[in-house]
Amino acid sequence: MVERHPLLKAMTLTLLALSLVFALGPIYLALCSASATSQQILVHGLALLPSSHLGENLSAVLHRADVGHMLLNSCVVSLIVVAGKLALASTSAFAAVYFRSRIRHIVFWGTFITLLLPLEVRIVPTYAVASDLFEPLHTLLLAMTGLQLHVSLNLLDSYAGLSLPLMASATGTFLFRQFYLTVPTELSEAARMDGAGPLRFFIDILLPLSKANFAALGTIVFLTTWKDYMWPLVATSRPEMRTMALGISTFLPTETGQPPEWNLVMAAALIALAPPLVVIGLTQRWFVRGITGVGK
Amino acid sequence: MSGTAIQVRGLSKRFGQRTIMDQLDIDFAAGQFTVVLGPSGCGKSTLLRVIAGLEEADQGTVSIGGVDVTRTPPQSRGCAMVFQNYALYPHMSVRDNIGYALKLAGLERAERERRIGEAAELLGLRDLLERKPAQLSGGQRQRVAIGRAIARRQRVLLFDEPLSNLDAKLRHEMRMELRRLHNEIGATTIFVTHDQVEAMTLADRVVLLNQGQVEQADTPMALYHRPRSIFVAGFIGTPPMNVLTATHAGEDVAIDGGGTLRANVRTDKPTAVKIGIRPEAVELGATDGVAAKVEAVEDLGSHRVIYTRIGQQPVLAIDHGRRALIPNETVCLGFPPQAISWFHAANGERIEHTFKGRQV
Repeated sequence: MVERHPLLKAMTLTLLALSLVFALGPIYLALCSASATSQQILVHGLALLPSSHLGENLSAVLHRADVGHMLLNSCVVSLIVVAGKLALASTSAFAAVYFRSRIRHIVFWGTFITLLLPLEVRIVPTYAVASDLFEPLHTLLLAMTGLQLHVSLNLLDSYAGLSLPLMASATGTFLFRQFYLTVPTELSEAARMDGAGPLRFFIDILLPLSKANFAALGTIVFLTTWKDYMWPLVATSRPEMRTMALGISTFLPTETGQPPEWNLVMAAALIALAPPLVVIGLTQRWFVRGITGVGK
Repeated sequence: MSGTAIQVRGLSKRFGQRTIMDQLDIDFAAGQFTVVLGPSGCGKSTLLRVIAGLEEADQGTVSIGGVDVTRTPPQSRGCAMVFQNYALYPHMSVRDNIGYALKLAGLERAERERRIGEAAELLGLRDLLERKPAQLSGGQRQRVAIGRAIARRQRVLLFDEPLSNLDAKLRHEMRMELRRLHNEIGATTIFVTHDQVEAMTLADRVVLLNQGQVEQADTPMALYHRPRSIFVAGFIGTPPMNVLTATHAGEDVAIDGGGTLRANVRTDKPTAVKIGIRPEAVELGATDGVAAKVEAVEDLGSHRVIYTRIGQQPVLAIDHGRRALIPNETVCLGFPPQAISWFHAANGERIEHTFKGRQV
């Protein structure tokens, strides 16, 4: 804050307090409702005050669904996506910044405009490809040579199918590119004089310098993958491949007339909330540095 | 570690439409400390980067020690370089910064430590080896950058304006130190700068570049006393050489807008010339000379700089006397003939006159 006007201060504080209410309010509601009984909620709606049934609701959730397995699935998928995305984003940004090529700008901006096409928009073709990885190749071959190929690889209901489509992203490439652009060119020249090839420079110099960016992007990617609902819903049919975000919906009524058990839904949501909290707690310090760019 | 000669032949470099240098030939003698001097944009940094291999030449060749290295990658040319902004690896300690190239070169740990220790000793970095660059002052960082270059024990050391980020006092210290280091190491050194004081104090030989061409390549004293052109005369020396337009006829030199000098050379037909004289060679209050009007006096304690004009032409004189001078006073300036440099009026190039069998 540069300004020190009391009115301005009051306004900012109000704004901060309001944001806090908006951010924490739903979590408070979830916590209260998760500690209520089903009847309480059916009669009074979502609970505004905590009551004493949290323990039994949580154990009911753990009992009714294979929460452990779903948490594991979510963890595995999220970690695969984090690893894949970080590797892809850092190397593609490295290529975009450090290699002089005629097509480098075309490639970079091509990557960049994929931001306009999130997974939700291209979910049908993505599903088609995931159901048979060779589908595009088949179509191409058939159109060009009339040949028909009889191999197929179905990625649905697998960790690969769940994670691969979420991996490539322009945001990550862009974040790393912006950071690499701030690294003085003389550093890469000094490394060249010292006898470091591109790969050595990337591993020895750029990677250690972009630790904070890795932490920041890794955290964001972990969270978005963890809470992703749509793709796991489409790409899985077997219950043992379900992720935690999907698992919450297990407690919603499947037949008409069945009363919704909101207390259990909220309890499951609380369980789903825990691992991301741990991740944020662990990376928080680096996260802020990576986003604000003070990590150097 | 002794030096090796470098030859640059027919070097041309273009950035887009802009020609930086065209058909440039330069030699750097083995073991010499050569300063490449010039105004910004004269191509001196580009020349250094082409020699280092960081920039590719459009035409021409670079050979180091008789081997054509024009197509050789930087790390195989046997050059080490010190950058203007130090270019230290921020996440590595001083020890690792100096040792990184040695590690990449596959040296044994013991040998690496020995060389790091030597470089640190030479540059007074012994107590700083475990620090990160962010914990060092500008002068210390520059020392580390130099240490990193000399620890590699290459035959050629390249410096790209390494002192320009330092303050005046540190710059002076580093100049002395660099000269001492060069005497100890003996590598062929090319030092790029726009600062003529660095050139005068450091160099065995100065190459003055102007718009991608060698204006003069000689010892610092030759550049100072016998500038090959008006450009050189104006670039070297603070304050720079006085240059006056005049007409040379017979044995007389008539200064435009002022008096006449007696020269020690004859010409049969009147020619337009420019005459140059160093401010410290101008004799203030000479009995035989040219009248000039005092405009201002700067007293620096050790000497005074007198700003005068002959007609419209400014003349600076450095004076060690104590005689009181007031603005608008008329003084008599003596120009000793042997101290005068003659230049063609048309192209500014030096005219060599022979006096009594020897060149002055």
